[in-house]
Amino acid sequence: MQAALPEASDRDALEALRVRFLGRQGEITQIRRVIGSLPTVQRPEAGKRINDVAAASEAAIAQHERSLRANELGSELSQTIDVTFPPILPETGSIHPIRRTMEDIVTYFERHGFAVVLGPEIETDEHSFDALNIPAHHPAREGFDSMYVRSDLLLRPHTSPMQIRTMRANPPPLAIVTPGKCFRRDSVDARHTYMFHQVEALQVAPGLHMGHLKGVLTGMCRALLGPRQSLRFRPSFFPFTEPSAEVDTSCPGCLGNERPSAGCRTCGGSGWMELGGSGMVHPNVLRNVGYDPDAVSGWAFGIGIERLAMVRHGIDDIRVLFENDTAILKQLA
Amino acid sequence: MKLSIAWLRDYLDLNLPVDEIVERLALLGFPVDGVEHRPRVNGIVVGRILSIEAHPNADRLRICRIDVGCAEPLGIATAAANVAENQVVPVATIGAHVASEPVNGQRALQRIDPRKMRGFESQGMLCSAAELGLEGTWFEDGILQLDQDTPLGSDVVELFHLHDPVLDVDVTPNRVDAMCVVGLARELAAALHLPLREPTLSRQTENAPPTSADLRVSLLSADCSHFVAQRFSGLRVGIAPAWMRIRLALSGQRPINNLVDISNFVMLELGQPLHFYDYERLAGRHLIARDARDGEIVRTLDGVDHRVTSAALVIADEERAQGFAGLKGGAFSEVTTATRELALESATFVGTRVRRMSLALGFRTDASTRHEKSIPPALNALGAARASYLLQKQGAIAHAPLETGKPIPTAAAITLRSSAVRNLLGFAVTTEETTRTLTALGFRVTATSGRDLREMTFSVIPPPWRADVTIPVDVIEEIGRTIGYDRITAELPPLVEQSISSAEYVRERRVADALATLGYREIVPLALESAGVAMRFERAGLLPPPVVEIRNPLSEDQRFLRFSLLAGLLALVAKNERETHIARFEIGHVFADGDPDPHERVLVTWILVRPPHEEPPWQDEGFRISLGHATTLLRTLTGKDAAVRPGQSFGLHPGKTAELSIDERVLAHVGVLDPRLAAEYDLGNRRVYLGTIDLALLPDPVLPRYREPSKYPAVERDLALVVGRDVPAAEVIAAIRASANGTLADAHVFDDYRGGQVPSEKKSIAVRIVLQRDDATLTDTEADSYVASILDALHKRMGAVIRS
Repeated sequence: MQAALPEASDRDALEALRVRFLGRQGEITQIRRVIGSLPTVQRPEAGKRINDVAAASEAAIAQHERSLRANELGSELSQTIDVTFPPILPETGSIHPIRRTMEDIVTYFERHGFAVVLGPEIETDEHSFDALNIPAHHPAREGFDSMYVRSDLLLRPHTSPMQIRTMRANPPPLAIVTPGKCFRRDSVDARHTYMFHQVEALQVAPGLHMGHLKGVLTGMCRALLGPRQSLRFRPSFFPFTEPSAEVDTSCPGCLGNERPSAGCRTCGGSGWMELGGSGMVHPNVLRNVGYDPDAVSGWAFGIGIERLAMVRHGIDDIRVLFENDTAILKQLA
Repeated sequence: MKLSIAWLRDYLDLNLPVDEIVERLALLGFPVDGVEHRPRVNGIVVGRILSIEAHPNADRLRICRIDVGCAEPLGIATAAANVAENQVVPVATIGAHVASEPVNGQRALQRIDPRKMRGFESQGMLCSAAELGLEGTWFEDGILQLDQDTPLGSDVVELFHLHDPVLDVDVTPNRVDAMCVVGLARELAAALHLPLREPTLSRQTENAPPTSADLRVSLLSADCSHFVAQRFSGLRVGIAPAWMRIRLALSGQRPINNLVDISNFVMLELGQPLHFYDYERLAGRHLIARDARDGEIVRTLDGVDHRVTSAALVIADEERAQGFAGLKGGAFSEVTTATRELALESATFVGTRVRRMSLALGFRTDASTRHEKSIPPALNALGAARASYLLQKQGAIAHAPLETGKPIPTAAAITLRSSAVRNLLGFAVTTEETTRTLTALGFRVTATSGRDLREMTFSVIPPPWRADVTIPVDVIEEIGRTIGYDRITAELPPLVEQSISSAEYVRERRVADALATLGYREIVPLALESAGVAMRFERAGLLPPPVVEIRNPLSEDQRFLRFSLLAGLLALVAKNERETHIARFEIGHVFADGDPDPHERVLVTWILVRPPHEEPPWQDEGFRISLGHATTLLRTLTGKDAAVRPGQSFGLHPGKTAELSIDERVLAHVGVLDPRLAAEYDLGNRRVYLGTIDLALLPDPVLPRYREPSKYPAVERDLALVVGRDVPAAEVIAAIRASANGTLADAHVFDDYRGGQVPSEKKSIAVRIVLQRDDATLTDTEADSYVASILDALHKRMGAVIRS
């Protein structure tokens, strides 16, 4: 057997060898069987010898099996594949970049305890204007060039009607955020579309002030654009807030530069990017929804989603967002 | 509006670089949209023409001797025709730079070198307005005429601040008072703590008879509430002083003559539009503010005749309308070179009336953009007094003004507590700051302290030009923005306790996430359509719901609201004609017209496109995949399993559509695209499947309940059943379930075979039944008897037999 062992080059051959010597009909087993026929005095000696041979054979086979297994693993370990061969990709879906941007904003506000409110796209002009302190024929209505489907029904030009609906249905305090589509009469070009998305936030409670507005919005900018963002208020005019302020954030395109770059496409060299409009809710608006402006105050903020999505993805033509081109959907997912 | 920094300097000493002025204005609420830099002309001084001689060698050249304030006069040759002795003119000396003719809007600089002109060594050049960098066509042909009293030798660039840029300032509609140089100067003065130099006013010339002695004013329309009229006599029409013309030109206003220029100057300076009538051409010496007569023709300054309705508000004399109130003057009483006397109008009109008239007539003017924002009436007298001062400087006799109309209401005092300022802005403002800021903006402020020394009470009276400030928060905004919002410290607000539901949003987000997980990509198309979309559906033989139309669409492709989300998805599939695997979805609002109001729903629609595929006509693998998506989606959204039945849905194949319901409520439809639509959209032989859910119908999700799995082995039995072809698989399973006795763990159909041994009106379906007990191992005998009872029930119920 010792002579045959090295020739067993794989485990099948080794098993055959084990059967040949140690199996039921194996040579060693056969010898063991004849021990009984030997004279009594010879049996212990013969039995011991055949047991030793059997044990030695078992050990030799086991030893050889270990070395064969080591060889096998060694050769498996030495194999290589071309790991750069193209992957087989799963069929995945994706969320549109507009919804993603909108959700990122909404999620920030949800973390601060804001409820999220949706509403209809056809609105009354009372919700869209009158209740927001923009009476009929007010010059400010001109800024909201709206599309009407009835004399008093229009496609909402901003998501503010949802603020009116929510305040009328709920007593203060409240904190809501209202994402949604809006419409204004505009021809479609690289910078404009008649449809756009907006997110507005509103909080009404006793004792709110502009510092709270600044605190929440600073946090929002940092959540969306990075921890180094700073914020500034520029006075402005909106009929529904007083004081009113435009909100600028440090230009994400110029961030990290010593000075804003003059050719920056995001800020045009000012170092600031316009984010949206904000302010303290006008007492007339609070009165219009049945709140007492002496008991509560509120702040509101509105932001356009497309521009932010464009900045985040480096898109410079707004139409790209609405073409839903397969390659672009994949690219932006 | 255009704001010339040169002009701004008349009212305050501004020593800031332009980008800091721009920043300041922005932080006061007046963003600057553009900065127009001026050509850097230099070396130009004021000179007087002492004498003019003909050039000995050139007919067209003349030689001027010019006193530029030095000992020795300069000799300069010029080809300009308008030079005369004693004129005061700009002189570019040797080494100076003047502006050349603009090329593509850019003006290069040209250096003045000594040069021989036909043998004469010219010591410089006399300059036109264009050579100073101004709009040449707006000034006299030839050399710019300066005023006689201009100090000789002084630097023209410094004198007129010609290097100062012009800003394009954005003024919000509530601040009509700031649509003028003084208004913006006051803002900067308040923010920078600089004194403001107010323009000089003069009501009238002493001892002149009052305007009322000879002129009447009648206000017949309530939309003209206040009117100041003033007569000026002894006029000489000529050119306005150079400083005025240059300021006007820098502000984008073409100089005309000394009278018209004054009316424009006052409007740009103080924000009050004025109108000058040729007094002698006013019939009956009577100015009447009235509604126009229907069909009345008004001829405006530009000579255009406008036929109007009574919606127009006109200023008329006793014969005819002489102009549109607050919008544009008329041709008949226009100021001309022959004008010797004029009547000034400084009046208040209701802004909406002016705006509607301007919209109806299709033009706007500098006057109407101000009037339509309702200028406070107190400015009428102010504007008149400023014009009166400037006209008297031109030698006019100013007759005491005639004021007509409602008395001007005095602004009520607004009571403001220091605590209110702090509570709204979030930072404390000192009494001194409050008083100084408001005073600088023209408010009258009285501060008093109560028992609590920290609480001050301010009585604040807004200036007459600030009609936008009426309540305490308005005053607080004035304080906050002038001091600067950079004083605000960011602070997180308290959490509020509320019970407003986010369910609708959460549902939408879950739908989007679930579909994305199933491999669908979200699309967001523009959501208005042309009439063509509904027509395509009609052409395909489908009847869309009544569409909602926009009454004032900007274009035909933005005329209709969507009645379905299908069109956008189908158009996308059509566009990607080579793609055979497409999975897209959209969540959007759809509309159907109704009476009185349109009906609006929020839908999610998904589309699945698969390659052509051979299979028996009663089977559709793509449909089963779609159905799998729909049931998974509903399971994710509701926590429950949907029941499936044949159904119908707009745009889907009538025989290949399923409705999915939960708790007997139909929530979703899924099916094969109606082949007529596939043909209409030219989708080829690709397989197209659609699903849709009305989001409002979705119940709130429930969490699945835990049920302990059985510890005992299950027994599976496969049955081949022959049933009628019209028996849906779900009905067989439902019948099995109905006969369940508690050991049924699962039952499902896994094959549908037709033909061969199976009779032609029948089909053979393979059903797998899984039986299992919770309390013990199910024996074969038990299983057999259970299967037998199921078969018995199926036979009774639908004539099902075991296939032999």
